[in-house]
Amino acid sequence: MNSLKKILGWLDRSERLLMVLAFVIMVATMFGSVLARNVFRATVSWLDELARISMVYMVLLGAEAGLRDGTQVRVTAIISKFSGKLRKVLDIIAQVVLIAFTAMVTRGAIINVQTNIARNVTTTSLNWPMAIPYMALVIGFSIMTLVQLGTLAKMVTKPADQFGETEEQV
Amino acid sequence: MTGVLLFGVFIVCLFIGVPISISLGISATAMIIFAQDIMAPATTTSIPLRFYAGLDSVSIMAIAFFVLAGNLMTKGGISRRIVNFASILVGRVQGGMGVALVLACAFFAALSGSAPATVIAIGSMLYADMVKAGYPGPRTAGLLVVSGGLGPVIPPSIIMVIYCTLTGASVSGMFKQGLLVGILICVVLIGLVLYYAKKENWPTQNEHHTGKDILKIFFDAIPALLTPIIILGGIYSGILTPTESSVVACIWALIAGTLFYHELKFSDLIDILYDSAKSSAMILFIISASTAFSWVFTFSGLSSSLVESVVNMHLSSTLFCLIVAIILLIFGTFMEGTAICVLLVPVLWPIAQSLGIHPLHFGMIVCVSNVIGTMTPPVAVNIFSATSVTKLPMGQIAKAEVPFLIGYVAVFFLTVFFPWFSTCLI
Repeated sequence: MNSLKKILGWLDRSERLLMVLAFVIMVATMFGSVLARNVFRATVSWLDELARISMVYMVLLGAEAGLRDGTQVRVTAIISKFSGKLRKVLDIIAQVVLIAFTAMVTRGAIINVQTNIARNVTTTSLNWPMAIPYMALVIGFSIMTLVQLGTLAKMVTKPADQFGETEEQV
Repeated sequence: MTGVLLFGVFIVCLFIGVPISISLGISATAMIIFAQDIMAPATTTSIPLRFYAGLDSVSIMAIAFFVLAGNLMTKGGISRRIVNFASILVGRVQGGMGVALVLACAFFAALSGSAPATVIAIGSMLYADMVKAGYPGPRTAGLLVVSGGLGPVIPPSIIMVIYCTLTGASVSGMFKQGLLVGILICVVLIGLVLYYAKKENWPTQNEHHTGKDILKIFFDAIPALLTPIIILGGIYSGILTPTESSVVACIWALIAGTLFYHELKFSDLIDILYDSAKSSAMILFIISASTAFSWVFTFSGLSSSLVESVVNMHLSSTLFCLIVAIILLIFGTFMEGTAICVLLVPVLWPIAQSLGIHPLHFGMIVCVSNVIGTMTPPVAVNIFSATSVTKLPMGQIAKAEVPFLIGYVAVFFLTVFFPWFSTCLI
């Protein structure tokens, strides 16, 4: 359990750093684009493209962080009415469905990256391989799958009478 | 039958507690797997592509920038200057601090596009002082909840950017009309404050400001008051797009907080950037998932059959708007605003379009009803935020907000029945 906590701590710090970096790039490139257009009368299209790619990374890492700490928006009005064994079963079903979905998207994203590498597709302005922006999906969804598997393992071993109380994620 | 599959899977996932974004993705995937006869040649590898397509847009970047600008302004001392400025505008009338609260929320709304951010920023500045001055706590909290609802109506507005992204409507058009509807709500709320001040004997402000004080407060507030001018002036003059104006707002908030007010330290920036990235990622991830959901909804032919069946009912556009308003208000009581928008707009907008409803009129119905949802329990983020500021129980605030909520809803129905309020400035 300690090594799992260490890994999650490292993951949290790296994700935090990457998200902040992506956001700074977004602000800098979009502001650069405004200055280029209004002050220097020049259109620099790669700035917009870099901002968009940064946003994709920021959103997918942020979505993973939100899933991990349970801050992703969900409807709790119905599920909060249950507790004990029934709640444990429902929570495990929800978790299994979530993991199945994120694993499937990871698989699809890997196929898309491979296809783009094979066809040598590049972005329109930066001429970077399209695999770079698509890789955000692979990274984001694969971390989601692994972390949520850890949460599932914790759910299965947790006593049923603790379900329905405030639940911490792994 | 395919409609039952798409919406059935979505609702089941939602009710067992799967996050909204993932529920949207799962229902879209279920359609591809179990309804191959109508979804072919789509495969499950199309889902990540749709998620990517939902994010690959410059216009939705405005959401992240407005969230960041709002956080920079709150931490940078701008909200306090706005409260001080609103207080000197009101002067010594009975219930004056109540009026100042409404005005401060309106000014803050012109900086931030979020209702809970407005409630927390203004509530933490004014609530304690108002209660100390003799204002009834629950009623003040109720007023704060409803006035916070000006946040997403007075531009800039995150929910308006989301609506325009989904429908292709003009963001600057929505912002212009939002300003009008926001001012109307503001006037109604001030009227109600003055009525309740007399009825419940609210105190009169005793503090006297000299001309020198007024000038000092005004000059101190100038960098804060310049923010809406930069945001809206940039858009309306055509110099900046809404996304560009949102990034300029971030830079301006950074300059005002560090160089003018000296309240924002560079060491705070990492936390502000991380918090803003996480909250905006949550909204943008839902939008990304909804792109996959609405693509399946359209690709399967469900969208066109739904439009056809509603058109065959021969509803008038007004009756349709009324039905939509009621549906949105009901959804608003138990679902979060962004989720309602991304789930229902792709379904309802094609019908509205076929009935000839103006995109801005439909947008105003969606956006204002969305805000009302933030004030109506059980899922009411404005009340949750007010609870954290006032420490009052949720039920007490919900009861005390009713008169102001009725005023807000009255303006909402004006926008539903009279499209003029949503289109007159275009």
